[in-house]
Amino acid sequence: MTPLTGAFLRQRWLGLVPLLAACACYLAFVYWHAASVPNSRIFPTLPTLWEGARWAVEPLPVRGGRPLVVDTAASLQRLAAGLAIAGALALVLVLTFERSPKVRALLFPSVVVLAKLPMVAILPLMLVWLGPGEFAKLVLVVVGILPAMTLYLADESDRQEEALRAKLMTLALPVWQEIVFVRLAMMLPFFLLALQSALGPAWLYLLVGETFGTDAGLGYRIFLLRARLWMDITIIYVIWISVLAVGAYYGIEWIRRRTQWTWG
Amino acid sequence: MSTLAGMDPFYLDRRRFLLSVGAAACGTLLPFRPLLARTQRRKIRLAGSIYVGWMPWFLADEDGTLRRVGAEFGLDLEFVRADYAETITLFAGGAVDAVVMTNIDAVPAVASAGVDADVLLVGSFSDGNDAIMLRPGVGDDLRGKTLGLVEYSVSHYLLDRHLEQARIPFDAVKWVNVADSAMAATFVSPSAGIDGVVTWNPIVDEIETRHGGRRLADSRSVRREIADMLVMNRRTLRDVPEAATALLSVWFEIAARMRARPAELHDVLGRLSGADGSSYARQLEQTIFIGAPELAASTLRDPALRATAQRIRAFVERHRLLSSTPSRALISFAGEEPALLNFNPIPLERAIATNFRPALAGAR
Repeated sequence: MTPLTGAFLRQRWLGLVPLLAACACYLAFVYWHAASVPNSRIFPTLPTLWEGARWAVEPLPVRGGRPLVVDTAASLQRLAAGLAIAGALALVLVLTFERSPKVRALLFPSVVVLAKLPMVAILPLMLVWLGPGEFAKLVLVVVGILPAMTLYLADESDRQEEALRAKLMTLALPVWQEIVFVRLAMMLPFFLLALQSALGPAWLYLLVGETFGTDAGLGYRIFLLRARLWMDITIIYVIWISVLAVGAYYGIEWIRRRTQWTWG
Repeated sequence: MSTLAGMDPFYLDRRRFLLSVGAAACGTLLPFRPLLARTQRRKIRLAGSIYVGWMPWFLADEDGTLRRVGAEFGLDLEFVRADYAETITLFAGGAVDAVVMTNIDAVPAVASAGVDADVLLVGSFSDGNDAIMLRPGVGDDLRGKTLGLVEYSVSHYLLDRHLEQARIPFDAVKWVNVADSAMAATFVSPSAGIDGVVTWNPIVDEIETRHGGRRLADSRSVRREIADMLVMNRRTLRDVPEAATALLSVWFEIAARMRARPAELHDVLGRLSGADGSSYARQLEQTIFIGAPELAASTLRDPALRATAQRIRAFVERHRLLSSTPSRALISFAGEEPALLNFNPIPLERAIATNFRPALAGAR
């Protein structure tokens, strides 16, 4: 794992240039716009953004609780639950595919087709059939990322099957030990990779699902702010979501690197 | 149990393995704990969107009034927030038991979904809250212009009525469908290709004060035609009559608080809707707010609602909002055979008679 040292960063400073250039362009435009429309909330200047950040950490009326904290907790909880359930289901499916060619013939084509479907299209159905509660949001996330994850893991297990077959026959383990200590162990790094790839769509379905039937959540707050055109706070939330998303990605990356040599 | 050379026997103990897997599985269920805890009482869901006349429900949800009154009645009252069109979809699809919507939207909703619904309360009349807002520099004559609105909704009704009153043919004005949460953004964006929007508060106030929108006409020209109502599924009302009393009790409790401490409540309600106290007070002036129970009861029996019902029927027919001619009547009032949408003052009158207290256990 390459350490995050000063020398490491100094060699890669060019990578920051696009981000800084984008910020510079934004600030240039915003300050030019502020000449004609001072205190604009649609193209906020830095002081307005600071005010927006202050709003996000001040307690809400009546209920209390700071918006950023409450929303992050609610969203991360849903995201974690969705990823955990989808991950578990994907593993179960793939392990079943390995053991039972009949089940594989039954389900695999559906998985392939579903992986190509944009799940956002089923949002209206989910809304009406499952109602507005937490369950519908969970189903949306799970159904959104499950097919792609299953496809990827099934692909990986196919690739490993040849090499594993002879070894498993010589080891002659009981079934559950074979599954846990060999198949799952071999699958773990790829499972984490699948989780990383699923993070992007998972965030999408999470944010989309939070536009209805909830009173806390990053998607809910952005949806509400958009209706008021409070772009200053929206930008703060977008930056925060980016931090969370990138953090989640590199968090899983860290775990993957730490466990990879163990199972290697 | 077999042993693999060099591996720690702990991992090979099946019981401990299953136990740890079980514990992990239970751990993933933890987020759902609050959900499971509340399944004892009958759940009644009310869907609502942000509108000046419905902010009392938001307040009731936020400060626990809804939960407390629900507990008194032995119910689990839940408030579901969404975009206006989505709340109607939720009600039509049966996902929620009650919804706050306008009379104009209630008719196509119940007719197309085949859901029998009762109007329990007219909470307010829009008296300026719905408006046609024009972008700066756009002239007053709507001929040839394009407006953004939530299609076939109360905004559309207001536009049609304005065109009737201004003697402009209906097809002289073009309109595009815009979701209420996207309305402000559409108004502001120069590339949206629209000359204005027709929408409701608090967006109207937002556009007027901060984005240079000009009010061409509003619901004051159709006084007492646009009613904001609490509508409940008739089957839920029949199965759980105390749900009506509970919801009505919540409404009048918040209304009483608004009468007692107006400045404080306006501030809170304003902030809940994303504006501020003065903005909310401004919007409330454009509302005929029904906060007293007796007034609400007499409003439900008001014959003027019948005249409006005719106009709504005409609107629905003109836009062909019903896929087929319904086999039953669309709207009925007190004392008539209940139609698809029935204005039912009985639950409110019964609630007033029992002083909004829950019925004794066993008595119905």
